[in-house]
Amino acid sequence: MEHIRMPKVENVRLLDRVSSRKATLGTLYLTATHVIFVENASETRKETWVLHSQISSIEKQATTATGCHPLLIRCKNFQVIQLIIPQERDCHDVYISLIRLARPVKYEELYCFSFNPKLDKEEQERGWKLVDLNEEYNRMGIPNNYWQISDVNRDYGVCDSYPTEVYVPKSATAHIIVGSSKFRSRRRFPALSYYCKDNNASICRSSQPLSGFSARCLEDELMLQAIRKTNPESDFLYVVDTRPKLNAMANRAAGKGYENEDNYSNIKFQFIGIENIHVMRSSLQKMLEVCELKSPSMSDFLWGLENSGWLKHIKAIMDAGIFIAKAVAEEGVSVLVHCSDGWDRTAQVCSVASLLLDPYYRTMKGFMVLIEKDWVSFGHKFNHRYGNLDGDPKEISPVIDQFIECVWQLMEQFPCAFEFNERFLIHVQHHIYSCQFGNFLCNSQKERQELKIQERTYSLWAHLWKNRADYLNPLYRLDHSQTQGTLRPQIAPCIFLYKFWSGMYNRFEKGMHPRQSVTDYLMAVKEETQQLEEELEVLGERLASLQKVQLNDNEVKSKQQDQNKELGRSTSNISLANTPQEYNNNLKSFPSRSPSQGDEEDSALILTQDNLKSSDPDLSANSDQESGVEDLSCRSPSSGGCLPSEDSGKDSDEAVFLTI
Amino acid sequence: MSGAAFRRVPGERVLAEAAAVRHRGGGGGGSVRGTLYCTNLRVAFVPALGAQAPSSRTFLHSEYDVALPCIRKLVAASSFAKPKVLTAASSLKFVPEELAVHCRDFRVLRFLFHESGLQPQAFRVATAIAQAREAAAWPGDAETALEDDDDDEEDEDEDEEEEEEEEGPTLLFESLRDWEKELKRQGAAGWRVSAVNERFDMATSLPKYLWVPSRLLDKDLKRAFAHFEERRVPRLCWHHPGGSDLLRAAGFHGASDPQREDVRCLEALMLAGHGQCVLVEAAAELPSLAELQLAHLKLRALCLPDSPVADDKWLSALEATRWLEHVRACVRKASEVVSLLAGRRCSVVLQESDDRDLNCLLASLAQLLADPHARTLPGFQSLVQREWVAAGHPFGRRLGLGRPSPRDEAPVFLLFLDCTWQLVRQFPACFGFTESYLLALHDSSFVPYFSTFLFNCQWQQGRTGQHRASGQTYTPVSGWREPVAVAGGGRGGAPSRWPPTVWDWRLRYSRQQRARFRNPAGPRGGSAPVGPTAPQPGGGGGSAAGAGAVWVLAKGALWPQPQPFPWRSKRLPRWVPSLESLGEPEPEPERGPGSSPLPAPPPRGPLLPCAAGPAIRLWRRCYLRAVPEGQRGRFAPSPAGLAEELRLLQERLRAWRPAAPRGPEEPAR
Repeated sequence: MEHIRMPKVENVRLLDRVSSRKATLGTLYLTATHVIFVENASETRKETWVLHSQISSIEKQATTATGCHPLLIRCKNFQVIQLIIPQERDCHDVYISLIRLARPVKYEELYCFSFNPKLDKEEQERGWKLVDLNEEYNRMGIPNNYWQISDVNRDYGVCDSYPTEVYVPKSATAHIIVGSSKFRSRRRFPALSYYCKDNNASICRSSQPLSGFSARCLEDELMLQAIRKTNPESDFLYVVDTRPKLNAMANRAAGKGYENEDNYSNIKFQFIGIENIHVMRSSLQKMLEVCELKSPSMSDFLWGLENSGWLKHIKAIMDAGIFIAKAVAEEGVSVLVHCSDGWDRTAQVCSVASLLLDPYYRTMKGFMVLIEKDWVSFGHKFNHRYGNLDGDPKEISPVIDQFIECVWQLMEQFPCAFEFNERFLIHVQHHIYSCQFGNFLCNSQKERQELKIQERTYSLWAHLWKNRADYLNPLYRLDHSQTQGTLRPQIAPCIFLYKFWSGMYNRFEKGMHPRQSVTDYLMAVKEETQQLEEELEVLGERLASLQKVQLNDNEVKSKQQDQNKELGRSTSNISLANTPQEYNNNLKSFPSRSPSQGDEEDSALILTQDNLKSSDPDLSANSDQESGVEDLSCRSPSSGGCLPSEDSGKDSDEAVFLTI
Repeated sequence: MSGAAFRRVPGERVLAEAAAVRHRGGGGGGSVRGTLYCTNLRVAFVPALGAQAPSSRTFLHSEYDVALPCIRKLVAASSFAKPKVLTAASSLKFVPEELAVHCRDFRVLRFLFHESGLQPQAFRVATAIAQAREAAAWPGDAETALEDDDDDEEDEDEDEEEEEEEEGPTLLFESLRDWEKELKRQGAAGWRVSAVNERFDMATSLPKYLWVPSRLLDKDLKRAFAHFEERRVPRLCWHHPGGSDLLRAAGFHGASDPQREDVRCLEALMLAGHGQCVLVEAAAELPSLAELQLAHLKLRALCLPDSPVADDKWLSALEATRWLEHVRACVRKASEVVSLLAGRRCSVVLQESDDRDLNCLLASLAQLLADPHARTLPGFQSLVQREWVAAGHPFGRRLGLGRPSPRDEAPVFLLFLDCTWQLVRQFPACFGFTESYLLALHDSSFVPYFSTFLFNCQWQQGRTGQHRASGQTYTPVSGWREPVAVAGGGRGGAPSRWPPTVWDWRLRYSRQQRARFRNPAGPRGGSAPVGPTAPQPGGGGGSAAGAGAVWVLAKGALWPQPQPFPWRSKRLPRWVPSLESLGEPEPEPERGPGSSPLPAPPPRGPLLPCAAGPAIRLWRRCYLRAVPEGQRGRFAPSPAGLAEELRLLQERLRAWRPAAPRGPEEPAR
């Protein structure tokens, strides 16, 4: 690992952000994949692990009065780590190493290519098959009389950022599709995102048309007409441009722009202004500055939050989603959504609308499917947006973070509607940046295929699914009204509905959060109830069998008293012996989900495991001790005994060299 | 046709009524049919039979009743005319289709009169409400005629006894016994109950009984009264199990001239046997009453549905009310006080010029943080009763329900409830009560039938009761001389004592509603004071300071007070410990989400809440309730319901167990 200049630095202090006077002394390690800080205090030896791919910036700060050298590491999961390194040389070496480590240039450097949860090939494959988009379109009722799967994009011949399998109207011939694609930015032609089988209304997505000031395209017009006709009850089609009107007009000068209502038959055109990725990036930046303030006053916080405009942007995305959901569910009108390239705002808006429309997407499995459908398959540029590889910083923007926050805001408004909980969202966000799983690598399906992601890495969904017990929302009930049908959030001016998500942005500031979680308590109560119910059932069965035995007993008694009595008892013994044992097994399987027993072998558990095991909710602390890199037997700095000796430190370096 | 189902409060007369009115509920859709009454005391809406489960009927209705003084604004609307604000002076020139009652407790009730043929009724009732509001009589007025209520049949509420027994009753602190009982519970060995003020001849605004150091005789104590504003001497609020004491007092009386002997008594009183005494100026860093009132008015204006604030300015408008900043300041200051108590052995004296507002707030907030008993439901009620009602917080003037001038109004008690809510939000498992309970208490403070909030001090309450007992037709079942210790009692719903205390929740809240008051996941039992970390002996340089050191808490640090009393000067050693060095107890190590089947028990030490900006939240369920969409997501299945289910199953299981013979292996739990 040629980039690590300094594998280990001792006497480093880790500052506590909430109270600056608390700093812990320890040793800092740099490995091929993580930055690790191990506390010296012998009884705790708390470890803080940070994945290189989570690092968003490293900053050398001014030397302190005592001649120490502070280093500030900001992470993409909103953790901020402040280290104080005694020697300037060490500080510089760590800094230079991290700068390089945090910005890999090849996909192969990313963690997912070395991460090995010790699953065999079959399990790996099954993991990737957990979410199957064809199955999902079948669930929606497609193919049917109006919609079909098209192979026009096989080998990515028409559009290289689209999937090979695209659903289009049956009446749209290959000629129309190809013609339309030539008239759309980056050839992203209109394709189906969601279909509502109750009323035939659908949501389609595309990029902006290359209309400029006057250009037309017959095939594109036919394409839209074909989409409108898939919904015979409705005589028009909404075309929603999710950009602010000004931005769309500016695009016309560049030969792009938006649909002219006069050229397309029976469309209704609508702007819904969501700002572009640059505005969103700086908005998040401003909000994070507020989060970084040390004990902010009320006005620091509220003014800062308002000035960042973050909640306003979240609301704009929600409003667009609500508009579309309403059109589909209440008016029964199909909608075509686009922004500029149709991979950022369009993905946000389509997925919010789908979430509102279909209860399935509010289940854990459905949510995975939704992200796979609207984000992964339609070519959301994960690599560029989340800076997995070193690239243009102007491409980075929290696009999917905003979608995830929209889901959280909905969860706050409809607490019974979602099968999963806040933790699930936080973990999904974490892994979009962690690059520990292959799901979110690259910018398109094509690139992922070329990299053979499915053979070389593991799927996050399988990992989350395995630990689903940790992500359940105790308030979710299948029969609850919120679980059925369309969610109808308020569209009225009510910004106060949108709250600051401190569970996400202040996630590592423990002092900021409620000290006890009501949700967790409820979950525990629910589990206990379930356990008792099971117990009751078993006892009931046992009683029934006892009564039966007694009945037999009595019948036989009249004939052969003594002999049969014994027999009766023995049968009763048998019946008793079986049940409780089975039951005990049940019992065991129940707490084993509870993390205190932490499945040591299961490296994929990492996240939940240490979340639960240590009293530390941050994902990085203690992260994957048992994780992938098998060769690193001494990698964990604490493995050499109570105090890591020089040797163990050296070992760990060697091991690091071995891995790559 | 007087409504048969309408139960009247003693002294209440129906002035107008309208049948077949619809009450538009929150949350959009539904509305409830019923009859709208305007009486000389309140506006009441009685849902038609069948519109409501009989078991949820209560004597007064928490959801639909509005006491006249609680009405802030009446707006009549019609599709033919623009909405009109009704007052007694202005005449209504159209038949209203909707009447919106804007309440001071942040509710907005909307009544629709859209059934045909009822225009005269609608018109009459709207006008009557407008006029009754101006002429509102309130039960505190002695002239209110109280008549024996023709008691209608009582329903099945009878059987349910409050489960108060398990946690102990609410102490009203009207009798000597209550004071002694509580002192014993706190384990304050060096203290006694003094009856020196039993006839209110020492200080009218103080309670009858005071907790003072055992060593101080009443005759010495009497020397102290003259040297404090309103003669409110220092007295014990709470004894820390580690030895420290929390006291409260009014400011020193500027004009008095204490003799040597007096100063000795004052010292004995304030030091209370400790080597050190820390004076905490309550008003410092906290809002003035005027600022508080202004903040509350702004908050109300902001939270009403017709607030003119634009969406993207909402947060700064919220900030501009300053309300949350005030909440933050209180929470922070109370934490400082608690850190002092826990960190060193000393006496902490809360001092406020008249000791009747912010002292109440700080003293009770500090106890909520430090004393687990105060976080149980009866403990909290006793706390309010002691630190607010008995201590003479001028509820009558501050809440502005009576006649007195509006300039005395200040929502100090509401601020306290908000602070408490913040604590409940931050430490949900440490409290025996819930947000619903706090909300009920908040609303009830606007209902002028409760003795709890009617008077300015015990003395006034006593006088009102006496007056009534002697001259009127109505004799309270238990008069003021022998007050009942337990609130409530009497037959299903109807109070045995009028005015009742607010703690008789059955009057306004149905059983279902009350089930939500208790936090099933809260601390159990918990009447025994839990000994938090013992103060470090001599911590904070106590030994160096020597006896009689007086410090002042300011800006989060302790400063030596060269002149403990304004009347004499005495050199004190210079030693300034910062609050941070005061052995601030570590917050309990936090558990990760879901680490054990049942969450860890609440921390034993004092609660130390986070007072940073993002941690202080707007109490949406209270302030935003006029905006139905703001209430989304609030009413999930109640934890109480789930807990009950669990208990039921456990019981069933227990019932099964003895019946079933033991298997080879009983599943271990």
